[in-house]
Amino acid sequence: MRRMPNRPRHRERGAQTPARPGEPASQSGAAEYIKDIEFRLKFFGDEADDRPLPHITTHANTNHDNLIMLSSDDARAMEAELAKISVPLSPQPDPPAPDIEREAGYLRIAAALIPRKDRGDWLEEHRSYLADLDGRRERLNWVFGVLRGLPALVTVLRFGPRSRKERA
Amino acid sequence: MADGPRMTEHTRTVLKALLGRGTDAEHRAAALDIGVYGLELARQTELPNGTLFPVLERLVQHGWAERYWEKDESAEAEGRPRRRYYRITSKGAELAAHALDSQVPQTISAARAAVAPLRPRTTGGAR
Repeated sequence: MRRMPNRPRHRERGAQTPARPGEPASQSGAAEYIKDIEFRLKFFGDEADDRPLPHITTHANTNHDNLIMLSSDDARAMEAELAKISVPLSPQPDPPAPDIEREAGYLRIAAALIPRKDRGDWLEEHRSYLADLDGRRERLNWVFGVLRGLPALVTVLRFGPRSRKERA
Repeated sequence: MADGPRMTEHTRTVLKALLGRGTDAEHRAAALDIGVYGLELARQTELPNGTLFPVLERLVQHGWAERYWEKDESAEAEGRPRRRYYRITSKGAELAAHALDSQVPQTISAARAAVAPLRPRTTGGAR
């Protein structure tokens, strides 16, 4: 036996008693029943997956509060009923990753200018930027910017951070 | 500034972003501690990436900045390629703060701009 907190207000206003599993239920009764199960799921949380769902009976204690006493009667029937109305709890599938292969192809060609020791990291770094950019236009702009800055970058990578004048 | 990079406007802009200047305390602490993702840096500085990455490369080679790859697990958890972060080094933080605070123009164009208002205006030309 397990004690649950007071039920939601809609049960205390003398609303229709939910239909028992297997019994024909009116439309409003079915809605009420679904609310009950949602409430129970909320209460049990993750445990609801593992334990048989007990049937609900109500009792009044000495303070005239409505308490819900749970027993394990009709557990299988309740589970079957729950299975009919259960909402898939799996998360929404992630949106497909953007197709960056075309833009990454341009970068691979440009990477021929980058010194071999830096090439792999440089490509991987810019692939990550492409993956984070929203549209194809933005990605192409990025590639275009990279190509424009490539001579300066290659100069720094090959000859060090100082300009020719500073080196002399 | 023989040991550091040339202090162009672009270099100053990138250094300010790496130091988290112009942001709130939380972002500043994150910039100094974790660093800044390259794409975020491009957005913050509004520099074209063809300008930004050579500047970053110079800073890295001078030892003012460092870069590192994020852990594979965090990238895999989010289903994306791993990111590379740029972070200012302690040496860079010290020297960059000094360089940014000094008002001495470091480039010819900056020097010209600084003295332009002081020059007497000349009218006409040689006949």
